[in-house]
Amino acid sequence: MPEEVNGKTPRRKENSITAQLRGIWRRISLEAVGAVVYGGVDRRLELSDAIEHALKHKVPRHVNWTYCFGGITFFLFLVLAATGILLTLYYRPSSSDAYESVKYIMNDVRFGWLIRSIHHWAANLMAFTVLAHMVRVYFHGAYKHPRELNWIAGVFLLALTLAFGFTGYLLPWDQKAYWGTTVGTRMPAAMPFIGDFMKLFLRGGDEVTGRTLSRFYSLHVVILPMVTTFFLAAHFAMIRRQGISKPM
Amino acid sequence: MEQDTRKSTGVRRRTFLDTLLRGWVLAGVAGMAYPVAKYLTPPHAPEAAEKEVEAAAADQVKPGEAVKFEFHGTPALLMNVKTGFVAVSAVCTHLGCIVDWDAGKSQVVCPCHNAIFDYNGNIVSGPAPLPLERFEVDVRDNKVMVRRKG
Ligand code: HEM
Ligand code: FES
Repeated sequence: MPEEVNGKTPRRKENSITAQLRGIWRRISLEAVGAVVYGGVDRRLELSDAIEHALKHKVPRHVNWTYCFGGITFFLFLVLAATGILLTLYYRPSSSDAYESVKYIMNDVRFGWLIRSIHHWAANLMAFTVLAHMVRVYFHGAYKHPRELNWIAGVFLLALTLAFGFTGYLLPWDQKAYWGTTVGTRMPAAMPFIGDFMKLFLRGGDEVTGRTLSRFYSLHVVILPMVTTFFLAAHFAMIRRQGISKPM
Repeated sequence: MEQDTRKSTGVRRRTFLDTLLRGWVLAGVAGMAYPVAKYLTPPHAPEAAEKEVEAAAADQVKPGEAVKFEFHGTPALLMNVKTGFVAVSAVCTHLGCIVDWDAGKSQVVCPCHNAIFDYNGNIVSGPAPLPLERFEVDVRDNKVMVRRKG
């Protein structure tokens, strides 16, 4: 029978389906979530103090919209993770199948175009917002003592974001991808001493081939997400510890 | 005391806003869940790599003759017989040798252990346990297009 959720009990007895639907309808609200978290869950785990501390944390007055870029970047990262996981269900990372499987996602899988396009645009936006975030931090002088370590974590996150973009660019395995990667992997070859090794290492061989594709795929969906998650955790832990910077 | 904001409509402001908020949340969740659920269900449409291939030009295969072609990485046989163009897989169902066309007998013959199939791929004699896979054939603009059945 429907519980008391909003402090109301149903006025009269109804047939069971209507009653269930009403119950569901009543549960769709923040209050209902609160009733669970502060009710059954809290009675067992005593989390409400911690949750309240986090949710009711006061944002200082000087914080304005430019402080949102870090959060937007993180949101886009979550969107990319969700849509990226969905894409792996149909994408096949091999030189013979990659292009066809992307075409298949776009033309045959229902809403495949939507999932891939969201992934594409979120990726482009993330490169923009991460830079906007860095510019914000820079002009507010927020990188100064004691936040040097968070700036360094940020530099890693910037490099990781760009690495996501670079490796993801190859995956459709079309002409743009192939030549983009050919040029991009040739650039480090200009470095003295280690240049040739870098090119070989990035390409997984002398040329851009299916082996490059395997390597970039592994980076794009396994290695980079793992490393990025680690740096994000460090980034956020430091922000919680130090608080947001004061205006200069 | 809760103020009664019912006016002529008989709906309280609280109820109205509650309904609006819940409807909005529900629509948002549904709007995301629906495409994802659809996406997760694989389509019946053939994958691009499974789509039809051009086996040969129609006038290139004389009546009674046959040519080999590649069907998505495996060898296949296109024959021009009494009933028109017929295409079957050229991989013998016995141990996987590549079968040949016997023009004299209008039969498909495996050179390895002498399995014999008719031009529809059905077993005539020999060790083959299954008929050869038969493909669907379409002639368009002098092109013989072959695709997998179903
Ligand atoms: C994946 C990329 C990144 C994400 C998701 C991210 C996320 C965040 C978030 C949510 C904040 C809280 C304040 C705000 O949003 O402005 C923040 C603060 C900060 N970020 Fe990032 N960030 C990223 C990359 C970077 C980069 C590239 C830098 C600089 C090189 C950087 C340096 C900092 C610093 C120093 C702070 C502390 C700012 C303060 O206390 O005012 N972050 N980051
Ligand atoms: S492989 Fe064809 S008859 Fe044995």
